[in-house]
Amino acid sequence: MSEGDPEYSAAAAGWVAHLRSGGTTPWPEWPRDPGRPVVPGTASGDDLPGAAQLELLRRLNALGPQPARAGHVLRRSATGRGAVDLRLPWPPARPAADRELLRVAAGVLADLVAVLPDPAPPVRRWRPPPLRRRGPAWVLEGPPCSVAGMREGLAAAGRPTSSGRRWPWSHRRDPDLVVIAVAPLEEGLHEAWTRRAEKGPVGTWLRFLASCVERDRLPPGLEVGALARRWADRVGPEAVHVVARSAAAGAFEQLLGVRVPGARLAPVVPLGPAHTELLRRVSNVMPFVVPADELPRRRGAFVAHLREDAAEWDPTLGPRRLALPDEVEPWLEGAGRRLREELDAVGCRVHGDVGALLLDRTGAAAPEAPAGADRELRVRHDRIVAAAVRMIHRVGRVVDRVGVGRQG
Amino acid sequence: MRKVLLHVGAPKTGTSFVQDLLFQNRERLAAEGVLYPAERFDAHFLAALDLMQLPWGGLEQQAVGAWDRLAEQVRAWPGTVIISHEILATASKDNARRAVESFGPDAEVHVIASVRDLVRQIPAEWQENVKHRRTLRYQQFLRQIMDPTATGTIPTWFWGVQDIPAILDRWGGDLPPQQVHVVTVPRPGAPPTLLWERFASVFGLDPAAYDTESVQRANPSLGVAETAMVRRLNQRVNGRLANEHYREFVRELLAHRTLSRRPGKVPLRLPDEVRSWAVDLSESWIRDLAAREYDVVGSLDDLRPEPEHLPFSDPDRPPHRLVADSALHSLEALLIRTAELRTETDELHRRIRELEVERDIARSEIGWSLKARRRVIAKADERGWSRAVLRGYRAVKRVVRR
Repeated sequence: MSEGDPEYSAAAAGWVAHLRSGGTTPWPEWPRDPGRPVVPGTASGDDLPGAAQLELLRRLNALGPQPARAGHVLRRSATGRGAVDLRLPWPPARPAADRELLRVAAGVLADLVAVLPDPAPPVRRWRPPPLRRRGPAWVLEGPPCSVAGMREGLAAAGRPTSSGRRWPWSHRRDPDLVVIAVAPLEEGLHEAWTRRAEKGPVGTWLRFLASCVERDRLPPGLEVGALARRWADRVGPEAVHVVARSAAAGAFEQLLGVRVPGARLAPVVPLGPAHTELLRRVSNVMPFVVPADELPRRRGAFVAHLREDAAEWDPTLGPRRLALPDEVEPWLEGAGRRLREELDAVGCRVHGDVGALLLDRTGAAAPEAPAGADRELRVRHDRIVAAAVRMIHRVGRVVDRVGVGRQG
Repeated sequence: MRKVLLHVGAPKTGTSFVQDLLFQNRERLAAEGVLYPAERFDAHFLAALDLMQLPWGGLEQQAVGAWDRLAEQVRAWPGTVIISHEILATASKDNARRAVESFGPDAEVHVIASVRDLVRQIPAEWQENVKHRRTLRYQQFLRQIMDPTATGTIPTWFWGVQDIPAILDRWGGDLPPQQVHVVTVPRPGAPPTLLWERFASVFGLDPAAYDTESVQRANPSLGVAETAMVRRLNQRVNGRLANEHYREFVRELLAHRTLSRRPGKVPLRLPDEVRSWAVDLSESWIRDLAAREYDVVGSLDDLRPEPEHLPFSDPDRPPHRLVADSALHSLEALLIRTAELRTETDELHRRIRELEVERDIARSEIGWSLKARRRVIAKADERGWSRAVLRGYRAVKRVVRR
């Protein structure tokens, strides 16, 4: 029994036709019927699409067929290193490893992102500028997700103008108040990794950690001690307030006179590991299909869709955060101790138990954090494939709606 | 008739030698009506990365659009064009079709594959892996490439660039067999110019008209103990030594310029059971290729491994004395290079001190006006209104400069 077998050709051609028409039967379950005729107009023998392309199409079909996608997926060469033009195994078995599916999916997604329309800008109603500033001029700094969450909560409570945005444009005076948010370092590191992936090429989670350890530096948003020192030198230590998440509601009430429930100050949820890893892989391919000057805009549009997808969390995508390898822990604990000492030296006001927060390794601050047996150091390929299939479906729908035909 | 000669691999078959020779002789080739379209020695490598959308440690950023630029040069040339890079071997069938179509409908495309027997290729590929920071042992490598179900990067890459019948299926599937040329690498002991003569006959060139002496030959290989030493070194420096430093000090200085030149190195071979598997596979390839009626330059017999008389020496259990000896040899080379670099650094520091003195003299000459300007700026920065004026001034200055 070989790939040159007429039974193989008939079965393979039949399966290709089945997938093209939206079918979802796996290759190992495809009936081996020696009498089955080869469907006219379908591929056979050497002209068969690659096994990874076919299996990816089958998984896409499982989410609902997208006729425009079939031709695109089946014609798309895999990107990056790996097997070349995989053939369907005979006798039928699992067609291709997940990493091979990912190589095709990254290419398909990059093609789609190249023609993806920009997300609609948020509707903003014009409001007359306030005649008089209410309350003190203040700045909010810290890890991006924490800061974004606090801004949203404060804006909803009617304090949108007193954000850090105002500061660089105001030449009148230094801020009266500087609030520096603090997140557990482990969580902050993960967030910094996902944020960096949103901006451009970045290594894997482990590589990112290794580079932090190698340079012995935390990402900028987490260098709370340096931030506090810089502001204290400028506005005086009494105007600088370092705020732990648990104490945020009380701190804002005391400092700004605004009451916001603690839950509404929670950090915005960053992309999970599967989506981040997918973004990383698609970003590697994008330069080949997107003109250089459009790259940031196209990546931004893709990230907006990733965020939407990440919001509808699915357990098949795995934990929301990757774990910290044991060998990084001593370094991170050292960094936490150093930050605490720096804050003590600056002499600014601290709200909540910031020291404990910096060294928090229990995950108590983030209930969704991986714990025990669920701790994963790298993203499993099946999870990235799951994210990729969802994203091809989601982005493909948008592209089909606006009727851009480039990728087909 | 426009003719495109596309040399698609395989690695370790004298490809760098041919590429260097063609690159150095671009003008002479052009005078004979043959274009080797490359402004830099790795131009076709970048074009290949672009064609296959293959990220390559950041290099791909320079590669974007390189294939289209290459194809444009090909279409504009009225005579013969040669393109050569061994990573083209891993192109998919669709990549290959796109490449051939990009040369235009009136181009007669010929595909050239240079091939060498598997028994020499397998150890050479492991060595290449070790010289690119890999730490896997020889036996692990052999197990992976012999496992037909293996899906890792190493075995898939190996077969992507070494499975000659599959490479020619992808590249030559749509071409008449007389436009597919298989150049075999001569057996050990053949005259050193023979490989070039074979290539030259496919390129339609007079081999004697090109000086092969001034071109660097393929990197000589490492011995058993030397490869084992570099592999152990990788285990120690990976994650701590940046890629560019690894390239300069480990690959170039130690592997290529020091260890490969050691006298009496024991060549890397295949263990008996792997050897007999490779011999069987080679036989099946020879039968397969012979049946395809390609233009064979040399002989398919060259793919049949020479009989082996020497015992296998395992690089996973190398003789300690030899490893220690190659480590000492490396230490010596690194010390000498370190001393050279120290001399260069001292010289640069001396030059910096000279320039600092010159700068201080220049400053003292314009010092009073500089100090006055700085004082005004510092004052202006203290008050709200003057700070605004200063910002406005800077903004205008930026616009004017642009």
